Amino acid sequence: MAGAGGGGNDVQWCFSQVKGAIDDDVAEADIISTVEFNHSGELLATGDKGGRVVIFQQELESKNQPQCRGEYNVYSTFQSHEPEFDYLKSLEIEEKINKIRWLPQKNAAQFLLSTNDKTIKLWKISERDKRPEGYNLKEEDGRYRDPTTVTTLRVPVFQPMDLMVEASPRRVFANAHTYHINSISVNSDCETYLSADDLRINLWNLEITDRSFNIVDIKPANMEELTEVITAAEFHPNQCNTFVYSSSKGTIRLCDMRASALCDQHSKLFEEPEDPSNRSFFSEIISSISDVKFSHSGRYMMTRDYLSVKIWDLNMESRPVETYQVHEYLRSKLCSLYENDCIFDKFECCWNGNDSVVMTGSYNNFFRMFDRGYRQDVTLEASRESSKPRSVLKPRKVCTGGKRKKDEISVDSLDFNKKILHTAWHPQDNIIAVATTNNLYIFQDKL
Amino acid sequence: MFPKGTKRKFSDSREEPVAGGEDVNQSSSAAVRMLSSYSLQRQSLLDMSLIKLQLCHMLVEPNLCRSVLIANTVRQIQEEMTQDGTWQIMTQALTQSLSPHPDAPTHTIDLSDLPLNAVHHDSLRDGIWEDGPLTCPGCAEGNRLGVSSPSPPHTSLPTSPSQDSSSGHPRAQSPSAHLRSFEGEMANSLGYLTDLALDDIFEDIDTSMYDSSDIPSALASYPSWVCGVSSWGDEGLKMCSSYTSASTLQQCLTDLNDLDHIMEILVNS
Repeated sequence: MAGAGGGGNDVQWCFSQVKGAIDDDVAEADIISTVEFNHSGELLATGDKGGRVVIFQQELESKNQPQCRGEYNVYSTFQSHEPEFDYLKSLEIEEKINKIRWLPQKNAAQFLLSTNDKTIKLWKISERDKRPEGYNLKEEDGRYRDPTTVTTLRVPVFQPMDLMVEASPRRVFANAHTYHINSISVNSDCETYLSADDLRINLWNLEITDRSFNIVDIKPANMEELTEVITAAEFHPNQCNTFVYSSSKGTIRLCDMRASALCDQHSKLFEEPEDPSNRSFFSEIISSISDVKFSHSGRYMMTRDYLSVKIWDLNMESRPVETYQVHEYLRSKLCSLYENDCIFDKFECCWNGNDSVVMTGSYNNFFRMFDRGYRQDVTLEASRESSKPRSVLKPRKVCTGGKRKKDEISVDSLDFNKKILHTAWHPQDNIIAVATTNNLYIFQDKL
Repeated sequence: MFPKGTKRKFSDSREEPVAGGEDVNQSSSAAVRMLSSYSLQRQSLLDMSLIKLQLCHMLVEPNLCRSVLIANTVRQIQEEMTQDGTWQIMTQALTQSLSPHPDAPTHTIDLSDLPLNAVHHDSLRDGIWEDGPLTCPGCAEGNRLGVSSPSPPHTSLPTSPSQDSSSGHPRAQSPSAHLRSFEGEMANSLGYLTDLALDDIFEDIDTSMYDSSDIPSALASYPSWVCGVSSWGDEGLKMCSSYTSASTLQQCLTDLNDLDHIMEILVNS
């Protein structure tokens, strides 16, 4: 196709930066588990399996290099969650950060929610670039002076200091989830947020940590009858009473909190009828939705299942308005992918700032972009080989059969250990963050 | 794999060619070959899924979504196999291979009145923990059979009644019970995840000594019929070693048979 990328037929994606260790020996704790831009795009947060959060800040655009947008450099690093032991169940609770969500900025400080399987925490990230000096009663090191030596009165004065970024936990929302938390979503009212686990969704007030409201509960009375779990949930970007949750059976339910306190009855049920020609024992597993994201406009939502990305119009429940195949060539390999468990991989998806392009990850460190307007798609790769600064990414192609052309990769050569599960798109600009197993790649369009 | 004298019908074509001497495919038609290949694949998928369900228990805290998806896959296969009759053929064949004593007692999976310390109960189902006492009233401390409900909790799946009624074998309870125990296993993998291993508090074996990859300790949380009391070592490893063996199903049931034997001895003593 003409052009190399999504976002219009003339967007070319260039390598910008890569963060993380170079060596192939991946430490378990360094595995990136979530990536999220804040609302302005100035900050980029990542969470990893070791329970750490690393926040990158975009430098102001340099006048020397007008071709480049600002680079992202480490702004703050902190240990968000520690491994815990549940003594009642004799089970370890992983410290892996499942999701990070930023709160809209209200004042000088930044706030984000981070969650592991059981506990959500509200973190305040604030800058300190001044400190008081010249205390009357204290020495510079903090020790109190001998009162008899104090003969004058002076008031401390703020003096500039090196910038220090502090992260402090302001709230801990614990003990509300029996099952593993898979999603958190901040409401547009900026006062509440939801957290979803496999069977329940809870509504919290950001100020109140000892109470939450259960708004969805799909746990059956008899657990033997359990056949469906919640896989993702999100609040509508504009309507504070509306949220959606997806299931392992490929359905999405939209709920209105005004209707009742417990939203077990959905307002809308989005489900595409199954294609009988594609039916197999794996049909249900590959229909399980791994991610659901509203468009910025709030008119559409996107779901990711194992092989495809679907765009739904909130006004039409019967089927998606658009379907994009991410890696259809895997359909004939489902049995092997079931055997090696790859079929259970949970890929995320994201929208660009104006909802014209969507992006999701795949295997072999490939990621895909689909331009909704121009009906184009492209496959790109996040690898060290194509990581020369400002080098344009070359589109990749997977050979599905027949003669393999030059530069194509055959399906059997794909590395299924190199999977891109987490991607994020800057809210305004064409800057994307793509997480491989333990590296974070930042790409931007060629200016 | 089958005892001698069992006549194998050509629809029972899931057996690997090396296992027996009889040539499964009587006819050389392509349709039959396709059918047998499909049945083979389906059986292999069933075995693989059951092992995955078992391995689910080995993880620190199993992934509920994954367990549910695998369990649904097993149910699907089971339903299809029941519809085309292969399920019954398989259960009958397995029954015959598992009958050492003609007058061995019929048993169900209900273990509630057996005071066995070494046996882990399979009562990790949510319903029991939520509604009933932790241990059944007559059980002593340290007895980890906390099953308070007397009935075997395997009634949720539609396939079991049809197997019971259709089998005319005098020990018809056994094969269906065996198979229901697989259904129970699915329930276990779900119920286990909810209210959890309260029995671990009473566990004799200190699982912190073992890695999560250590199969024998992981099998510790299995219902006893899966691994049998004697299967802490090699047999357990053997069971989990490969996906493709069609004898895996049988292996589990063989171990169950060992358990029968031991239970018998203990009850009589």
